[in-house]
Amino acid sequence: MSRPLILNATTVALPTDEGTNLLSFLRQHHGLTATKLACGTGDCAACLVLLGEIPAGQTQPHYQAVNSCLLSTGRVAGCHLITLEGLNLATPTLVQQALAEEGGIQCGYCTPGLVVALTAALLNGEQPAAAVAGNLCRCTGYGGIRRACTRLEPLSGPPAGQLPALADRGLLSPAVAQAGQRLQPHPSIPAPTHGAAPACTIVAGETDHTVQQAHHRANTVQPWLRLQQIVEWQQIQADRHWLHLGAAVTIAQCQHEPLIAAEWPNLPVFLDRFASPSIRRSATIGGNLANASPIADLAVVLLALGAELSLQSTNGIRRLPLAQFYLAYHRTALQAGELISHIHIPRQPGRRLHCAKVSKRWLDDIASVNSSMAIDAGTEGQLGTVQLSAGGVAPYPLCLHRTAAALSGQPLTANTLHTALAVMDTEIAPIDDVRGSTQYKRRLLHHLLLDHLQALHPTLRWEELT
Amino acid sequence: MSTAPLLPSSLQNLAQGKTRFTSDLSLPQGCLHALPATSPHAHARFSQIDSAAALAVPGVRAILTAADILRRNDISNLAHDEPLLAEQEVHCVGEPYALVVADSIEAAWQGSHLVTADWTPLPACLDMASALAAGALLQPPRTFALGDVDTAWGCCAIVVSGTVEIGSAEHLYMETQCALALPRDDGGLLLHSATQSPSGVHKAVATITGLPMHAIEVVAGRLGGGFGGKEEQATLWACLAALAAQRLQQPVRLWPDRSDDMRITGKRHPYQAHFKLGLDANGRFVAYEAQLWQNAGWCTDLSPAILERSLFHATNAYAIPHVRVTAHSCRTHLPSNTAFRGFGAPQAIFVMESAIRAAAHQLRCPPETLQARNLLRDGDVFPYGMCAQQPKAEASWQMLARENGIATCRQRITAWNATQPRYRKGMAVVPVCFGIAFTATLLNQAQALVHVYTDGSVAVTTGAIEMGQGVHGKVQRIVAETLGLPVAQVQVMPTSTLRVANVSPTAASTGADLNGGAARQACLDILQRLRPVAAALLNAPAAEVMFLEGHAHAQQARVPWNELIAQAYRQRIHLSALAHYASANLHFDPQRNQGQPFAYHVYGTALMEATVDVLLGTGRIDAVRVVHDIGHSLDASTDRGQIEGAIVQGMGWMTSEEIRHDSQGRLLTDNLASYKIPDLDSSPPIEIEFLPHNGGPAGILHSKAVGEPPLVYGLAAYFALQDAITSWQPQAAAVFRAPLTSEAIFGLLHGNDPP
Repeated sequence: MSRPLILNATTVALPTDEGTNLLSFLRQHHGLTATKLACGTGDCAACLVLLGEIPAGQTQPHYQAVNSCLLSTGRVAGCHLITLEGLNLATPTLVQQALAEEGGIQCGYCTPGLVVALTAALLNGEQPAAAVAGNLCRCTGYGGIRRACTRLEPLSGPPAGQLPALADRGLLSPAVAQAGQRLQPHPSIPAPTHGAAPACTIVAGETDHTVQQAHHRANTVQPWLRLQQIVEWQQIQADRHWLHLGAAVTIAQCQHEPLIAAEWPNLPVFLDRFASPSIRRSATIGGNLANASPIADLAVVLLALGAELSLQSTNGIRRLPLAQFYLAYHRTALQAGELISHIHIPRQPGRRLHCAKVSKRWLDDIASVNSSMAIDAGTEGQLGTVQLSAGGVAPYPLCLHRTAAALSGQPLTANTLHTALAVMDTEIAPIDDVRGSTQYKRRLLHHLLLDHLQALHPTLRWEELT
Repeated sequence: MSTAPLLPSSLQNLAQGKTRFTSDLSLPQGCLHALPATSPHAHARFSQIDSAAALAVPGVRAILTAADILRRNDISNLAHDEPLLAEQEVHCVGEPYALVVADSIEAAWQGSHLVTADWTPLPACLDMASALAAGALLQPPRTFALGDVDTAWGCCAIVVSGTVEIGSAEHLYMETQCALALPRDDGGLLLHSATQSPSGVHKAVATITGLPMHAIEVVAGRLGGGFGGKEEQATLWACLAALAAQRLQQPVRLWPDRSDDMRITGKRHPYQAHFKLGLDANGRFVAYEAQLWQNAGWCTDLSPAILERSLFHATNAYAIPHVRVTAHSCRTHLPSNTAFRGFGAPQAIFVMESAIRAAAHQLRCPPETLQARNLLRDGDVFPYGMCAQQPKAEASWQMLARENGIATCRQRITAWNATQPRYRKGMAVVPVCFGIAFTATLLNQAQALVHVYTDGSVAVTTGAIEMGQGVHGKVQRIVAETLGLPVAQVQVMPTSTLRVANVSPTAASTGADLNGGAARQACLDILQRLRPVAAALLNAPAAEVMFLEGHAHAQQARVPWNELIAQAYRQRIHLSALAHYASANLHFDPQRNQGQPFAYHVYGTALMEATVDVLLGTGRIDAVRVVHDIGHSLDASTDRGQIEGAIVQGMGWMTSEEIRHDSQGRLLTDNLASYKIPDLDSSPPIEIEFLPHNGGPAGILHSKAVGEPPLVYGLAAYFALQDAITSWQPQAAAVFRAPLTSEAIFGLLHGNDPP
């Protein structure tokens, strides 16, 4: 029997099948139709809800906007879930007024997601426009939405922080804020020292699981192992030589982590291009790696950084370079029952990182090709040691060892570049798909290499090298 | 007219998520769910449908096929070539051939993927070239002509020619198609349909079920977006729901998910074209000739009307004395393409604008110098015989160009590109001239039912479907203005075919003009009856009574509206009116292609700026400025929103939105992960100015229609990006192939072949 859910102001039982889709649960079981189904794949944010929880070992609840179309009801056991119905007061809130009066509402189908995202922004002190970066609207052309965000900007800081303060500002029903007081911390779930049980559904941030289901509508195996609840795996720690990231660390957490910003200043900004804000709040590093998408944004970054993985099973923990983790299309070195517990990134003073990605749309899109390069400080006129990776050019995220070797320690000349590009062509095998033709992806990766080199050596004149 | 400071209740309901879209309606007890089983082949024959596996799915209640249709298996509007469920032959991937009805949507979905048939695949045409080779045209080619093109080439100083390809686009209304059918105890049916065309649904449901139209009520509430995609193609879902409800005598809902919606419904017509433009030594357009080909998909749908509007708008906002444009509609084995905001006009205008860029490239001058020289002037004649009356092409252009707004932009961009190797800038100006009216003249009629209740409140029903474009707000204002009441006293109701009958679709940007016209007439009819009552109360001549600010006024005396209504009711005065409106003076002879097809034209000009990263081949639209001819705006905020939304929709079509099929005709871009519409980040800030209004007639209360014309501004995204690309790769100036995705930009900059 799972812990109940506080749904807006009342406590409700969750379905026994913890794989029940959360959005269906809200709309069908509870008649809460303000939350909309528009894409069902986490691509439009019409279904956003505020998910509040107190992580194990903590006392303060944390609320964030998440995609209800992606989550299963098991994810929200013991949580407080606020839908648009729970935000409503007798008169429109400042957020609702801003959207309505500035022309941010036309057909109104995407509006609930916008109201939830903007209310969450005011709660957590985020920039309103950044908070709705993943909310798609087909009517307004975003003019009215942008104006509403501008109007809400003066309200965006300092954050309301907690629900009562949000209710005091007239942005939330007091009864719902009150209900939040009943929230209890999650029980502490120890890291599974023996890996996963033989037959179970393993999820982390659950941002991809439902998408796969949507295509196959497969019945999911019980029980569920929810890695995102393991506190120990949510930590980021550093020692002298390594940065240790728990597999359940989210993308958003990486973006806000001072240790990461200090080490690789461009990385948090680059990760703005990883899916949408609400997905980044749920999606985990471990999930991004284990899913083995050929185009996984973070896998490509971590390959260039020479990351290693800790894999845990009944046999204990083994450590494996990420570069050896991918074996074939959607196939990894993970054995039955084995889980990624940590990701370790070597810290090398003076090493710089550049990440690049080309997609049809700048934000919230899957790359045609993405690539990262890490480079050690070289000597005068010579490239330092290079590590290079790319996604979208092979059945899995690829470490371009030989191309990197062709560049490392070489003078930065057209000759070096042409040699490296020739090597690169033998290392990759892109295919034709909706993200681009084989030929395009090949040539694009050439240009991404130039982009890396120019970013890391601003004096380079790339146009003279092509 | 005042701009209301209070939040209208409809907006408040939307902001609070209280509005019930069709997909939000509470399901009645025993409601079943249905989904169609669809063809896996682009073209195939079948004789047996195998339902066994689907029927074995727990919860599946029935599999219906064409044999279950009681009357005629036909849901088409024009050509009787579109069955509800395929019989013996399927013509595209995604064509429904069976309907799975189940207790749950999950069971219906599973069942729909288990139905199969004994397919015999047949040859399929997926592109226009193969359709042409097979002689597969929907209708004979049509030609609009003016002057004498063949002779005129001889008078030209230069003649340019080229080819154009324009991609398709998905409507991507946020609410997918939806219908809910409820059997009535009298044997009739109540249909809740998310449709732009309630009477289209009405007629088709009657055809399918064999019920007389009076036994069917179609209710169309607010839509979560339409954009033309729910004009013809909502009918399929409503008819499937009606069929299942009739057969099983239980309520049935159809609500396809995004991927099924994208796979099954038609989209914007892709076009190909060949153009030839001749200019004199002063850069004046002398002659224009174009061949247009549209990919219609497998059945007629609205393709001939869309093709016709392409012909109407082939010369955009330019005066050209000698014109000949021929348009072909190619029948292919794809889902039938359909209405989409702009209705074929943007495709034809893209061809015209391409021809101008080709000429500018050859003359080595900025395109805007040629455009400015050739804008329509008063009295210029369109190829369809209509005269341009007070065209605002030059006025809007000049307003945009004031203080050298266009010229300095060009200088700034040229200077920037001279020093920047990597990030190149470009610009484009695109004017629009868009004819307002259904080109099928008969559709230019509307009905409105206005009830004044004894408490003085007013309810109005028209055929206007609210889908975000603000037409209900406009009708509400028109009624409030006419009756002299606060807008809050007027409620606009969802369309029901029992309250208004035989309504035209809400389309062609005509919603406010036609339905507002009918609503205004109904109000005037009621006021005519109230006038003597008011005159008696005010002790004044009837001719002096005015209705303003919630009162009837005459000679400094006034009586509140409520009292007037109470008195009128006591006197047994009829407080309701059903009025009909038909646009005056419209006629068109489709044999001669001559007439007066439009009530008026909408004009405007947009300037767009873009940046291209030459190294990576990515593009971005930086800024948009627009001067738009809106007449006397009924609601400036709504009109601004329509312009902003249309521009971004057009821009998406020109840049990131790409429909891809595989070689078997299966849609590859069938979800929002692979089909990318603009987001906030990619949508530029848009500066809009309305052209000062001179008080002339145009549409309802001197306003002008707004829905479609500004979509044409979105074409500037292509030409601005192309302009930026051209500064690096001059050969790109002659390439007219939309959309300009990242891959397409890269190809233009660096070639498509290995270095």
